[in-house]
Amino acid sequence: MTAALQAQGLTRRYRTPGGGALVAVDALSFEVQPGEIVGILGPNGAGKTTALQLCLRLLHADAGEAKLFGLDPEDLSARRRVGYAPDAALFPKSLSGLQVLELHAQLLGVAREKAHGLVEQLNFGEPARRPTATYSRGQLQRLGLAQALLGDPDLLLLDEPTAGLDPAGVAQIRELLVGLRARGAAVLLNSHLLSEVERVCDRVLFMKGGRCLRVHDVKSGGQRAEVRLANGPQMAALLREKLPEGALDGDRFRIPVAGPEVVSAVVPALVRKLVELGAEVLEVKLGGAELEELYLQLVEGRA
Amino acid sequence: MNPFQDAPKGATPRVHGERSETVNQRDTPRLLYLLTAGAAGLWLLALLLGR
Amino acid sequence: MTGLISWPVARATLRERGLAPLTLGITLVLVILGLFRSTADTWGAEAFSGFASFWFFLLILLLGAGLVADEVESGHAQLVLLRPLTRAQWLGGRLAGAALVLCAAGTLGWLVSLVAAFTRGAFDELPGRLLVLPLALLPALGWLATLAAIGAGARGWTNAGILLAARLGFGFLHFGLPVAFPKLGLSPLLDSISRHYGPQDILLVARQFQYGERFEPSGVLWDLFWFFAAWLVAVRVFNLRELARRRA
Repeated sequence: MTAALQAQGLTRRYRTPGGGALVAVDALSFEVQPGEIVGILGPNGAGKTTALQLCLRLLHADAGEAKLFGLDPEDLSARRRVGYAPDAALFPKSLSGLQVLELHAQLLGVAREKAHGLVEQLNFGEPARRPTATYSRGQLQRLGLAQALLGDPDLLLLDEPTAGLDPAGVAQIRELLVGLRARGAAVLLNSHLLSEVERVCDRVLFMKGGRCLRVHDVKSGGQRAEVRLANGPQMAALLREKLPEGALDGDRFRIPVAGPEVVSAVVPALVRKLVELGAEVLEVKLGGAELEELYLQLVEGRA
Repeated sequence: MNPFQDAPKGATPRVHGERSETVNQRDTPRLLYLLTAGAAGLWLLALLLGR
Repeated sequence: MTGLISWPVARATLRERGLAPLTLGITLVLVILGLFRSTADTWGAEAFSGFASFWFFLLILLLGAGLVADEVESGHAQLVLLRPLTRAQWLGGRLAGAALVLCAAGTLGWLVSLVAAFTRGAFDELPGRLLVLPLALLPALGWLATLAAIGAGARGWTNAGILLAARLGFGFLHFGLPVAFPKLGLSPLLDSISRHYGPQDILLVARQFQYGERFEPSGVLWDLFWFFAAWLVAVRVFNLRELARRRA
């Protein structure tokens, strides 16, 4: 099956004022398959935005290439299938959000009504009738997202889609992305919100200094259980002895559990065992802070 | 349904079965050259006839 | 024409530029001038000549200022250019949108002046008066395309400043140099440069037509050539600028 997006050895240097060169993206290779959500995680300046722009050829790569659906990124039939929402998009100030969307609908050859429907779906009905000059950052973000979704894209690239949005907006975007995946679309998103990335992404690329440090498979990477104990400190020695694969951190005991399909069997067994050992279980959470730990380990270099 | 089809070896990949119309974004439409050249030709002709 | 112009972009530009308060204000001035400058001995050009020509040129500057750069610098052009259209079509759409506003404003001023002429019974002037409209719009479109060509490479609204400076600067040289250095005999040279320095005022053709004088089409054809050449340069410069920006 052709990848929706394939990047091969993408490299991009920026010239700095002193005459030097800054490597923004360094030999980056990855692909996004249809029906997959891939996240890029990394600190500010890691090259995440540049990577997206290179994929769409909004910037030319110094080396390497990107293909959209196996086609050149400038191929017009590929572009018809791509949606892109940049970080902090700006629109013609005197046009209303709806007029901007109508323009994009016409360019894509989709019915204008589609723009109206999308605006309602994104709870954006009232602001969409005002000139974009009056928009807040979150409203600009929503308009940027709406124009990206307009043509029912098969590949969606989102740069910090949740920045500037309220919690309801963030939840809505999560739902949207899951819906897109369900119909076979591919999504590549940049974010610094680890919890969001962990909740929706199938795979995560950790980037730092323009390089991909690791590709992490969120779903098959196993899960971990986080158990809050009322008597954690008293249990420390016993837990170390009986469950050495886990780690106690204050009142929280974190332990890897097998893949999601056997969680229903593993978690009750874990709780039973803890209770037998004399632990007073207050709360059990699945998923835990695995991505955060990986992020700190890989990107920040903390053990 | 998968919207992406694998292209047979040597053929151009297609999206939704569409013909791949790779338009080189660097291209300047030929029509614009023709219109400019046509207008220049008419102007020169008028100059010559006007003498 | 769809290879040259993206009509959705043209429509959006028409909305954006046409409903700007300054555009509407100058159009109103043109209408008022068309209404009151129509006197017994005029032949139709008063909607675009003399004092009105100043306002008409101001409208061109306003419509062309930042025509390309506004969209590029806001980043919206990047989003639009990710759609299935070429850079040439996008630029053609921007130019066509501004051109439509210009034609609408010019036509309105001209129409008012025509009606004013009819009210005083000047029906015999009709052929000349009808011809005035395209003859006024053609060089105006040439200037607008020139603004697009300069704007394809310039920042913000500097394209309008550059065009204004180039026109005023040459005007100053054209009339100043022969006065300052009468012995050099620069006048014929400067006159011949002037005839090719931008689109030419061709309203006189309407007068030639009206009064059965000898018809001189080369000015009209020059303006037509200038319009397409400036458009072509705009597309080429914009392509080069975009590629340079992507590589910078």
